[in-house]
Amino acid sequence: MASNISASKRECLEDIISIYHDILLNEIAVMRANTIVEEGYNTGEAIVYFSSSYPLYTAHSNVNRGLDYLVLAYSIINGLRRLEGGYNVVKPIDPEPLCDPNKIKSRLTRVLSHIKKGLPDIDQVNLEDLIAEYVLELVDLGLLHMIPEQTNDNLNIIETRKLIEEKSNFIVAKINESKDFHALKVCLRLEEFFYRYGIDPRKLLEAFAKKLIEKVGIKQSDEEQKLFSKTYFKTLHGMLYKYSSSASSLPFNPATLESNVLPFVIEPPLPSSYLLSTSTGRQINEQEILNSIKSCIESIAKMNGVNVNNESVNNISRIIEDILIEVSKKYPKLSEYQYRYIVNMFRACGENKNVLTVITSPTGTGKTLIFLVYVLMKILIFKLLGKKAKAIIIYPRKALARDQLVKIIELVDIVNNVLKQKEKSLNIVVGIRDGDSLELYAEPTEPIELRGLRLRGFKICHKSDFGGKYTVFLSKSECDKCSPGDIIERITWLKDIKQESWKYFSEYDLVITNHSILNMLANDALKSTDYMEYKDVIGDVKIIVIDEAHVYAKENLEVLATALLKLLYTRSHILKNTIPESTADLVKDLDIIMSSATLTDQYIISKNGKKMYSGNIIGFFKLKSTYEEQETKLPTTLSEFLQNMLSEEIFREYCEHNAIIYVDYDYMIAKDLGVTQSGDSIVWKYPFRLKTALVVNPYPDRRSWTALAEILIALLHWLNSIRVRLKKLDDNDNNYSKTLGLVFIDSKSTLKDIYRTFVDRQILDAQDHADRVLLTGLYIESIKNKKPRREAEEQIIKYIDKKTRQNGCCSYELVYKDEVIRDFSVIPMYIKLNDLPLLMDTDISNYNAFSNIISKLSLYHSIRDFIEGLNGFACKLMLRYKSYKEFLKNLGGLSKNIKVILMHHGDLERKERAIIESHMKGDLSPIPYLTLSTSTMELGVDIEHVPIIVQFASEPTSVELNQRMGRSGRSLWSFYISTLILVLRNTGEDLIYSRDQEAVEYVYNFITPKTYNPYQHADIMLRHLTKIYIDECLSIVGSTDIENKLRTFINATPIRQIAKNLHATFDIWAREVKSTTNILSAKSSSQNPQKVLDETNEEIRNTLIKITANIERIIKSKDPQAVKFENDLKKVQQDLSKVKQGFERHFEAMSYRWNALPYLRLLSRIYCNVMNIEENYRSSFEAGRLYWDREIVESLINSLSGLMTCIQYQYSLYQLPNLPKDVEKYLNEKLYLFDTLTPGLIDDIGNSFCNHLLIEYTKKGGVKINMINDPIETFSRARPLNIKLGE
Amino acid sequence: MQSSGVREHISKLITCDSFIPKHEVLEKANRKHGVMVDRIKNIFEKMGKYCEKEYKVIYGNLKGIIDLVCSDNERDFIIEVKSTHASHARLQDLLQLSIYAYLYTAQKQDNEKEVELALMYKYGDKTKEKIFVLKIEGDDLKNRLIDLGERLAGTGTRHSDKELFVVSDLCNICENNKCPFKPISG
Repeated sequence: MASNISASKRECLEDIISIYHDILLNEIAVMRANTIVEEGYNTGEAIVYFSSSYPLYTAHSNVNRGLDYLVLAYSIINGLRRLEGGYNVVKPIDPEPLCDPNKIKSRLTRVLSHIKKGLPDIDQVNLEDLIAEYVLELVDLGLLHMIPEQTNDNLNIIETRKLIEEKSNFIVAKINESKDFHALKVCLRLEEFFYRYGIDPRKLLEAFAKKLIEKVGIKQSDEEQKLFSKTYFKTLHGMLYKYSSSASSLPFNPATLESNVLPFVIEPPLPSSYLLSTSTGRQINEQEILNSIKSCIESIAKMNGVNVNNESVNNISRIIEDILIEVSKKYPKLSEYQYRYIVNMFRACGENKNVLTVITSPTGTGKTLIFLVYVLMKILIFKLLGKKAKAIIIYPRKALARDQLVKIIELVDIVNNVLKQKEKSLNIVVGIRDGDSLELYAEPTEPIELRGLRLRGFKICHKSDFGGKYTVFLSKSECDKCSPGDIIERITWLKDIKQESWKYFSEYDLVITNHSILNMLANDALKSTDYMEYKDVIGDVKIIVIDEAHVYAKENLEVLATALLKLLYTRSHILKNTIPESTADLVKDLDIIMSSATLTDQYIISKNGKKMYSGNIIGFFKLKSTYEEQETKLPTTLSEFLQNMLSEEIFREYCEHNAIIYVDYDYMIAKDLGVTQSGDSIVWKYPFRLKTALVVNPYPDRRSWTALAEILIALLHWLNSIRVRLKKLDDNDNNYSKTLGLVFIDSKSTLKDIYRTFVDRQILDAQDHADRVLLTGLYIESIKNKKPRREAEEQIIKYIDKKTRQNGCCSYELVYKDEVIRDFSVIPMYIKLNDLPLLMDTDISNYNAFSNIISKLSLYHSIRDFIEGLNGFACKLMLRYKSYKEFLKNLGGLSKNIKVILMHHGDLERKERAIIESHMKGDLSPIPYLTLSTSTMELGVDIEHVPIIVQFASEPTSVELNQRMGRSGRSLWSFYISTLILVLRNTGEDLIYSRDQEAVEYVYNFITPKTYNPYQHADIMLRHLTKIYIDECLSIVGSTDIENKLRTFINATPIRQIAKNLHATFDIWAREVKSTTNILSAKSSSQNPQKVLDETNEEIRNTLIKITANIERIIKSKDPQAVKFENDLKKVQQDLSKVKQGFERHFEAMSYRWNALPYLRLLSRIYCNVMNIEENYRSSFEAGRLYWDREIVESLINSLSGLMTCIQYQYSLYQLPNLPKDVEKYLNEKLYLFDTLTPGLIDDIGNSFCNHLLIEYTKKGGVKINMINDPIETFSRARPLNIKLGE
Repeated sequence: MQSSGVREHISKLITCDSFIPKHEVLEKANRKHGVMVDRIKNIFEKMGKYCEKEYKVIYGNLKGIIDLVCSDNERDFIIEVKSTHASHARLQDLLQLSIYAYLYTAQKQDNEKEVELALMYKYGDKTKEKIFVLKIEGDDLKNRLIDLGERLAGTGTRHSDKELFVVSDLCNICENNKCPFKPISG
């Protein structure tokens, strides 16, 4: 692994990357605004770097621009200066504070020795020679590329210097254009810089020219001299931007229209990296923390009526200290940020305060440790005092990320081990409950991995035993192959099971669950006849943690909000044994902790409703150097976010008790690093982490998919060039050979389509990857249909033939200077220094001659292997295996030559996802070059080797996009640079990001999170509250008991205060329920619904028989692959039985007084499930084809149709009372029948239930039935019926 | 309009509507400035040119004070002197010169002499300090600057979106307390 490399090697590599950062920053400034990073402006929130010549000199973003040699040399020297003594980050070009040039030289010598494997000759030369040597080494590695002038507006200091003449009394510079003024200005600043460091720019240039001749053997002819002054340097990242911006399938087929290089963002290093290498940092068992915990113990004892003497307090204190000593072995250092939180939380506890803690900072900053230490210690204090306490960690996903779970389990293990050593007969029990929890069976099951977790180096396995008994244990072998001898230890304190009753929650001290399960629990508790039954489940909850809270800014906030409200109400009811009377009652003895990704970055660009103009900004440095006043002040956006999430009243409750804990991350980092400001100067001597982004617009008449696909082709070569070229830097460990890119495509179906189309079209058929390195002549046929690729031949081979025959040129000119080829071909990514004479010296007169030259390039075989490897992969995926899943199964056995691209999404099973992740991490071979993913890769998968993220379309929120971007640049092996290419679609919502201001705000999370306050929308609240009632309607119409329960809850004083108007809306809704059920009971005058109902009943019965027969066939087959098929069908069978029972019950009662809509909902869900089964199993394995009865789908359609006819009939009698005239008219024209009685159901992960059938009557009396998957669309289209509801 | 008013005017026009300069910064710069203008005047006079310091120009409602106007029989030199080092030249300097050039040419419409425009700065270190002349060469740029001066002096080219604040080096000498992006000094 990466961490095994020697410290000195690592230091050198860190230096190389750090210097590269300074080069890249200036290249971004040049690409974005044709300037360099001269000056910044410190607003206190960040340093904002701007183009000082705006607006009279403005240059639009152009990815073809690069650095001339003098700017490059300056960047290298400045990078070294930063590392050696620091530079003023407010004015990076300012020579002050001066650094001894000898130190710069000696640092560069050390770095160069590492690259050149310690060759001795470089120690004696001057700095100019060293820089030249260094530049050529970077070119050889591919970290830098030398390209000739590609745009006539590139900042060129070498040329600008020629404007300056020395006369007797004056130094005179004559300028002709405003851009000359700009260039002169930069030139003069650089001259001053060089002068202060004793460097003569002329000598710099001479040294480089000399080295170039020595190394490459290029003759110093006049022409080449001229060429040299117009030679620019582009970084590896700059090259990616260049080729992504001009990506096209063939030379005259642009797939992209334009691109925009966004400003860079510099961030300080993460605490995890600087804490290890510097003396800074705190310990978790420092006296200040121990003292605050001690006062917390006293306070808890006092408040819970436990008489404790000093000795008892000391005893508890000692146990906790021992635990913290053990924790400190795992986490030897805390950042100031973590330390402050922990101290402040326990201090507040000691002051008898319950706190609302708000933790918001980037991934990898130790948020989990902060809240876990508090949660675990507080639970333990209660337990050691003989009292009960429980904490719930809620997260907004189907399952908590594995890396997050590992941290929790490891810490609890430490706590329990210490308790065991102390011979305490108690421990902390953790219960995980979400959609992935294990279902218990009466029969024993095979042990399986518990979410792929490991503890103390062993696998955690779990299984269901006889009588539904549950076992968790540590195993030294694979869980399913584990023999009794492999079991290391049984774990009694960890459970991950699914059960009907919530009672098993009562034994958990720490519940880890999602908002959806929480909602189910809250619903069940609220409707229970005796709240005290939930005493051990809810009554003991003392801490609620809302993890990854930023996700609620986009969705599910209403689910969480209503679940919390119900939970707090029930909890309070249990504690008081009566209806809660105030908000204080709801949160009595309760700590709430909110942990999220950064939600405060909007202050970098906007304040008090005013914004900065992004157009002249070239970059930001997220650095806050004045931390004294603001470190604990809660920013406005955060308090708004909290008010929306928890309600204004609950937020105010904590506010008024001065019990909100917040620590500003950015200030604390600056404090940790001891960064201070003196006047206008902030000297920074640490490494950076960078963020950089390119926004690409597709060509208007091309599909956005094409732009994405062609960018991916460029990206594949870019990644391959890193793998093959950067070996030299890290040849023993070869970390760069694991490099891969991540591509996010949010919609699962779009992802699958793009993936297959890309492999099929771009690789197998069009061979775009061969064309883009001009190897068309070797890949003349489509692999897919064996037909010649005429277009490619015409546009590439014939173009080169014509071009070279007419003008006669060398390959260098063709590849680097020809206006068509230079943008199309990515071959320069593979061109090394020693290839230059070959390219320059020989004139070519046709494509074959050129092809011959390419075959002599140093990296030719790497290019060929790569093309062949991708072809091999495409053949396997598209031609050999029937499905992606089958391909995945065989992934590990593929030949080494195969170069793969993978796909990761939620439809894959957990095990399949784990396999993909292992390949991506490099634990298994082959390591994919690209992984295309939905949001599933957004969190939790920590891969060091991802230098680039591509996002297709602006689907994610700004915070989510940042989380995704944060997947890249996490280590040295991904350059500490988070790089994003945002490929827009040609649609309205994406086009807005063609504007720089919007793109900058979106990409860098400078947007204030747009949450709404669900508590202020009575109909939203109602949607979630009435689910309990609707669920009951499946068996009973108009359950008075539930209605009364809901009414009591809604009318409770604190609920009326928090959710204003809810009681009034509920009354309207309840009336509507009654009115609708009455209407539904009316008899038809024109149709015979009874007959339809009879037929439908018969059809449902038949369907059930068919499904049962199908299940029996599978069982008889004994086909092991059919097991899941069987289970899925059994679930369908179970659901359909419910429908059948419902029908039969009503038939028995001979009554129409029933609500058929829930049955319609259930039946349509069954239909969807069956369609999924059919799709998955028929296509994926033979058994599906053999056992599948196609008539099932048909029967279900008939059942659905019959049921809908009944409902249509019922609704035809439906009259809305007191409807406004215009609405009535609208409804008469287009009556939507929508299940108004089931507004806002939620699925397993808390999304609004989206299985809606929208029945639409047309004017001509026809009926259109739509299945709508998008809940927002459903609600907006069904709004006419909801108008009344809101009013 | 005072000379400093022209500078302020330019600053507002080209960057930020909310710009209010810190006067003490300007005053400090003015003291150094006087010494340098005298030095340049001496050099030009030794070259046989007639020089006038603080040359007042007025045209229509606009007034300005040019640092130095030197003339011989063939040419008039409009010189804007900056007491900063040439490496700190700013675009605003060029714009200020362009307004003066416009006012000067507008005021002296019957002048047949060629008008030369130059910005002058310090150059080199304190031991070997020289004067750096940034000369506007070619009629094209000169005329464009005069045109630009006319536009700036007239309606002005404001930033298109007034709701947005433009960050520039002027922010460091801005004392608009209502600006939400005030610089932080240690």
